[in-house]
Amino acid sequence: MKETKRIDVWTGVALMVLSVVVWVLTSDLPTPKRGIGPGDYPRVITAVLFVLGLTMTISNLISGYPAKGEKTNWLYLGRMVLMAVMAFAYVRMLKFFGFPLLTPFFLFGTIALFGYRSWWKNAIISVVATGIIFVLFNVIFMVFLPTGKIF
Amino acid sequence: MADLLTGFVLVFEPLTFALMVFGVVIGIIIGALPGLTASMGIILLLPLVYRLPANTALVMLCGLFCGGMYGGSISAILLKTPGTPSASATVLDGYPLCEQGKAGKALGVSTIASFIGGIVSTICLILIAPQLAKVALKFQAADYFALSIFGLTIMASSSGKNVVKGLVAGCIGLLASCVGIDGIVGVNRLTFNNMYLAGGFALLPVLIGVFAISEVLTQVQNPAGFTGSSVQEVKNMLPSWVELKGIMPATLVGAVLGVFIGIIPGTGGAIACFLAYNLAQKFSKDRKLFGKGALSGVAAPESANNATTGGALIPMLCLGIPGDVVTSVMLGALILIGVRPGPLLFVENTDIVYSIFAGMVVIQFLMLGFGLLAARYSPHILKVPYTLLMPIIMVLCVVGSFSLNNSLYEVTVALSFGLIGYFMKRWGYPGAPLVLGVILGPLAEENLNRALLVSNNSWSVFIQRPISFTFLLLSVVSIGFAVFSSRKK
Repeated sequence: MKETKRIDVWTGVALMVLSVVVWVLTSDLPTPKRGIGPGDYPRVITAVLFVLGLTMTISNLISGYPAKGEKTNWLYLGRMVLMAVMAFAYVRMLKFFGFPLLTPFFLFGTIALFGYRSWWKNAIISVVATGIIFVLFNVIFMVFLPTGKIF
Repeated sequence: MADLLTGFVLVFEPLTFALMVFGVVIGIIIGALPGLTASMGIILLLPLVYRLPANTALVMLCGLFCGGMYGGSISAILLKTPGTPSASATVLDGYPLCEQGKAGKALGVSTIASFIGGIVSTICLILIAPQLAKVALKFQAADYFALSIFGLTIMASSSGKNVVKGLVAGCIGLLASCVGIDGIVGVNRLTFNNMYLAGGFALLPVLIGVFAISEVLTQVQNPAGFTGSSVQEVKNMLPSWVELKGIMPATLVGAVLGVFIGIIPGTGGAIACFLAYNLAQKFSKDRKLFGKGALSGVAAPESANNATTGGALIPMLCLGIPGDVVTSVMLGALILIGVRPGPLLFVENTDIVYSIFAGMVVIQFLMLGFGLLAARYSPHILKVPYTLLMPIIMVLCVVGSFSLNNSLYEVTVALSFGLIGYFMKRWGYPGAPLVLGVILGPLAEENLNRALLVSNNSWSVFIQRPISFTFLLLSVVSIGFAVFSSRKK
């Protein structure tokens, strides 16, 4: 709860900064004589966003800014970060290795990250699951899957 | 009537029927597994959806929607963990029945009540939707703009605990919809001269990111998850005639209430199930049994949450405004197929509309049959380990977002929105208004521009037209009501 409250204050500030940045970025877009121009609509939204950010910051500050937030579970957060990093790396490497070659390794890693400790079973499941997805989408439903330079 | 019969003919075409059965079965399984929702199921099926004929794809998604809504009761009764938020009230009496060794009876009642709720809501859908569409045909640009604002504010004010956070999520969605080449003058807007951003953010990767990838990222934090290894055997499912008569009042109350809750945009099964439970308890002769294993305590919420399905489809089909989170995902699916929901749908695509109506009738019967079957084998379904399921879902998310344009850029967008969705969930921001903002953003901008062009830049057009004035007033009331009730808490 306390963590959320501290974050709410800073999110409010970030929203105000974002509003100003978008306002500036859209200020030089053309304005027609009738109707709205391409910059008018985002500026209306950022004006509302600025007010909401201000409301969030002030209301949380008035109700008491907590001196110390709740302890973050870094192990849990670390697992999430690792999962995200693995996913982004997987997508980057798909260009080179292709879906059928790379996916078993990605699945093996993520299944292990989820806590599955039977390595042999994990390896078999990763290969079989990739095969099923490949056949189902690429062969049966004719949905293209990422191809790389190698495969 | 002839249109409805044509709808039945289309629904019974072999491919359509087979995929409708597939949708119902997958929906029940997904709904039964805690953490997986009907909206996630629809998202995972999207790569297949836009390669199918529109009516076939839509009845499959409707099957998944209804099956998912029912499936949530299975784990609520057997594990004390609702599979979906809509089954939250089912736990109250479903699990005590399970503890008494009557899990089969509770699941049987839940299936029958879901069937009755679904049938009542389908009848209301068939009767109300065409009439509402006739009214909506009179809408002009100002009314559509006001309607978009109304849809967004009501979703923002009702889908989270904090109305400001809901509105922030909606504004972020609207802002995201501004990225790309602007539709009015054709200039680059917020693209930073990036050629990929010039195309804007497609809806599918946003949906996949906010609703599916964010869930995988949340689940990886607690890899032990839930375990369904010690679920009791399910037998004696069908209730006796006396028991059936006993649950009928609660079932009907839940059904009627569910339909009306479903019609109100931004609400949904989670609200309907608790209201129906409270109402059934208030009017029951055996109110002391509630909370200790009353069959009516299972019937009322289950009938109500399934009744919201038809109700939620009414504003989505007639106005293009989703009734709840699942219908907002369905709205996205419709747009991907190339069908724009709204009153014109009832004029230009009657075959699609009546396929949905006929499909919804057939789906309820399929749900009854496959529901009873799935409930019997549910102890096996619940043993599927999360440690294997979630990584496979992640790969399916990659496949889904790639299949949109055969581009890894869309996958990167999905992953980025997944991260945004994760932090939004962590810090209490609802995801549905963000997605709705992305959907309604272009519609709102286009109609705002058109209304101002017609009125020669006079903003008074929005209060001079009764329909737009009513929607804007309702938007203010919905925000005011949400602020008032949150302060009261």
